[in-house]
Amino acid sequence: MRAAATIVELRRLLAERFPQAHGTKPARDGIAAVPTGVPNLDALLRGGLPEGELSELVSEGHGSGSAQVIHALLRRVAAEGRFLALVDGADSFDVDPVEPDVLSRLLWVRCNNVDEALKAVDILLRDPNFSLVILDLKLNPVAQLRKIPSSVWYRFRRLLEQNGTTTLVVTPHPLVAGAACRVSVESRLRLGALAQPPSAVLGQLRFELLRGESHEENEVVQAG
Amino acid sequence: MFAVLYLPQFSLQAGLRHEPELWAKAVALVDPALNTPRVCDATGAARAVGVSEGLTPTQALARCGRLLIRHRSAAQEAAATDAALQCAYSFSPNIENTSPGTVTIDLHGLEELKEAMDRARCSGPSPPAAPAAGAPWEKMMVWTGRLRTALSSLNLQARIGIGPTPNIARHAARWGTTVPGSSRHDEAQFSKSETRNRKSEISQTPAVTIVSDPCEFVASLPVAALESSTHVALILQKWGIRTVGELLSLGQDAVVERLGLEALALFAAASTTALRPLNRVLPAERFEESLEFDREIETIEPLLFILRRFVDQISQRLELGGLVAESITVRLRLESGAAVERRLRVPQPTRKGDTLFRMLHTHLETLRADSPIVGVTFQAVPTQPEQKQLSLFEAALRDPHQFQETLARLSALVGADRVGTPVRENSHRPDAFRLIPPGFEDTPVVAGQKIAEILRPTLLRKFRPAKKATVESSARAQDNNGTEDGPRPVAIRSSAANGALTIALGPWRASGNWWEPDAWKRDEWDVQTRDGKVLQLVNRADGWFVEGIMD
Repeated sequence: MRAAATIVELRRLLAERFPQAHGTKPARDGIAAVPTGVPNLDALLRGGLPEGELSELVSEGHGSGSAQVIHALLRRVAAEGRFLALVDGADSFDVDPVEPDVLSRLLWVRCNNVDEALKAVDILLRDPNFSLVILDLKLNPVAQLRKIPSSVWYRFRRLLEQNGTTTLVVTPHPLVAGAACRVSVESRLRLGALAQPPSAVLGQLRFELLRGESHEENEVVQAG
Repeated sequence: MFAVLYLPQFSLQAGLRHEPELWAKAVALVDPALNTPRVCDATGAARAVGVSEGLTPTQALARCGRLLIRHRSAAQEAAATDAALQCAYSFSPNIENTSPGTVTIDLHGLEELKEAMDRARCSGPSPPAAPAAGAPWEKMMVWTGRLRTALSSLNLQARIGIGPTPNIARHAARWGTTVPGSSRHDEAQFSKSETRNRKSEISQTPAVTIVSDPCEFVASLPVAALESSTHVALILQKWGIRTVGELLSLGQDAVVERLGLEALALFAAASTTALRPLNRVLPAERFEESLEFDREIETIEPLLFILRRFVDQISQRLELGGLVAESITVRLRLESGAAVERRLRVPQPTRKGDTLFRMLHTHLETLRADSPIVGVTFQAVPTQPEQKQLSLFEAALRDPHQFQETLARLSALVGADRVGTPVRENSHRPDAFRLIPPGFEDTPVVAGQKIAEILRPTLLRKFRPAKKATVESSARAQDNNGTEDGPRPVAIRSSAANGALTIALGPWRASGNWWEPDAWKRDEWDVQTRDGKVLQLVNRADGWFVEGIMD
């Protein structure tokens, strides 16, 4: 009887600590959203990325538009007078098209490999100054990504809970275990997009919700 | 008035500065520079079991099996000298590096001690053994107490002598006892936190000696205080001369007639009035600590343990000088003879020990060495702290100190040149930028409308470095204006993409810095492969490269 009571108590503690794992997470209505600056994505996510949560943007193939999302998010953050940290797993961020005023709101960590990138995120998530962190693993070799233990993501979630940092991980395939929100960007931008105005390019981006709560369907969608 | 800091057992103090707990154990200091290494100093515990100067390490170990042998290190003595001078300089600008372990401080002009020195000049002998509250001498005591506390924080135990001339002050520090004409103030009176286990020379003499009656004080000194040669000392001993007063009573001319010119030096050393100008020095802005390990180190924990002590010491010394560290360097000497050195730039210069240590910790966590570590050196490059006007109503950062620490740790992880805020160089060359430390608190907020106006297409991900490509080109091509131009790429082979190109737009030509050695020239193409990849293809002087891919 005593062991059973202990197990019940342990379950209760775990449910309090990891509510999402036990299906007792409160409704999104009570959670603030961080707008991304991409209309289609904000509409899909009911305002933006869930604040203080770990989100994943899956960008399979080339020309999907993940770089556009990162730049739009940076501009949005700069416009609001905030700043973000970009942990660039393959040192692929293009600074040329970005205005100096926008760049001045960016902390860019240029990593050589996945291991460095994960350690950098670990350091950033322990700092309460950063409200938004992007981890870009899109161009990192798949062999490196496969070596990431799932415990890393759970550790990040624990850190997020402490400081309330919103974190977006850009990956080439579903990777982040326990992500509160997983969205796939499935655009196929071609050479003609270079001649189009930016707003038109952003409008072409297509997203699919793989995990999390959508605007259209007010229910949890699970996949992967 | 002058003050002299005397660091007894200087070589041993320098050697054990980072291991103060060893003062309670039997430790012998061996000078490896001698042809036959011999013990040159020992702790009180070692002396208690018969270890003394002149023994070989084997003889010393035969007397005490638990004896720890440490080697005398010129680098550690230099670091201890630097620390002592930097400490003294924070109390007075006029200091002299008199000899190893001895620093002379000119007290003239120190506002805090002016009253005490005036009293000493006007009223002569007066310092009581237990000064009354508010008395001028008490200020002197407080001042010397602060000086000794500052030295203690650097793990240096000093005796302080104060006298009207540098010579008298040096005698007071070196030989200060309860002789008439001086007042003694014991160690415990001023610094209760000091190591109490030093049972050797350090704790057997008073901590502070103030000479109020120089004549009486000098007369009571032993003749050995004049540092005569062995030959002369033997003669004086045969004469039955024990004190300086007995020597002075013989008369200078008579002694010189019998002992020669050396007697003149003895009388000069016994002078109570001779003032000499100090050979003033500025302490070197060198902040370095080093240690040779007894046993090779193979794990990070013992290395971090000693580095933490180094960082704390350097941090204290920087604070004394009102400086901050702009970069730190850690140098590891390996058993194989190789050395691993890493210089870490501190993004926001600081002297906070925690921040500097976390930088080191983050870096060392990723370090792999080929062989065990036998020695470590830690060095900080100082700079003046930056003054900054803080915002009155708001702060962009919740915790600016934590932010600096985060930057420092990121710098240690990926390198200082790979973390920061990007700033484009003043050049038309693509991808020309540098990273600077972020200044989020000083950055003006950009209006949302302005952001929208300046929005431009951003579709590329860069390859750094660019990927080498082999490109097949057509015989002829048309440029953007429809006129005939050079060949046009039709197929590519690279690690980024392979195959025929369905579209190739370009070339967009650019060049720059033609007047300098690093002149550049490039033809840029936007191409699309059959499978839909859009690449930025560039023809440079050194060949074709894929510099980016649309995403």
